[in-house]
Amino acid sequence: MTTIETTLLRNTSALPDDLAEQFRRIAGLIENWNGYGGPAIEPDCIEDAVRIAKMGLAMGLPAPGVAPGGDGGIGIEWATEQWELSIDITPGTAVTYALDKLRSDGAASEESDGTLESDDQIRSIFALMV
Amino acid sequence: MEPSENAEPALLDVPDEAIMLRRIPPWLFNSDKGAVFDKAFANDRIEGQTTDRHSVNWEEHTSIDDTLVGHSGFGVAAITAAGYGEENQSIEHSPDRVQGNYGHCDAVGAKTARVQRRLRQKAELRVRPEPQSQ
Repeated sequence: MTTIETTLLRNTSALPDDLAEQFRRIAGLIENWNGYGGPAIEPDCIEDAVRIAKMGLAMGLPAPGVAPGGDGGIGIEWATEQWELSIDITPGTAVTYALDKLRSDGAASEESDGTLESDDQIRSIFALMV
Repeated sequence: MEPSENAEPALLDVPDEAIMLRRIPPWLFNSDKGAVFDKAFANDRIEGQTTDRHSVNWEEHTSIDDTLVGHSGFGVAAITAAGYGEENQSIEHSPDRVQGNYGHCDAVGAKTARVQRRLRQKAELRVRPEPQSQ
């Protein structure tokens, strides 16, 4: 078992099984997993994503979807009836987000986006969504 | 006309109406939502370096079938060059980057979470990825 797998087993123990499994699969991806030479996903990015997912769960958000990036990073996405949020974690660059408030037809009625520089900022976005 | 095997590939200007194809691995399809993850439109890391670009194939020169060769279970999303342009992305013809792929292009520009979201919304899923195997 690799170090990242060991760390993940410890860090994902409080997550829903499906979400923990998504993280494990992402951690197990090998180079060129996307057919564009994509690198293995950076362990630091996975750890950040696990931490943010736990913050959302603790505040009452549903489990997010998580996606590996061809940049070695990870995307975390929440979709609720009213909100769609993506947080993009890319190695070596600022964490960015895109938040849409949805109308009943699914189109965005309000948009916000930018960089995320603190957990408090993330929590304030989550607070809007719950 | 496609270049002969030994010639330096000619670089073409990409018109707005050109269709760009991006492979979508199964891991980037959110089966709960029935949609591609925004992250499918992040930039590519190339040879260990962060870049400002991701690879696409110009459909006129590299078909969906050719795009999927060797990538069983992957899907394909299509966006016009104009659609990329609306998100401050430029399309550069770059056949020299992938040998034997004359339709290879790069979509160049910063891809924040918002840009990834808009590219995903503009993309037409031409081939749906197969579900991830358990």
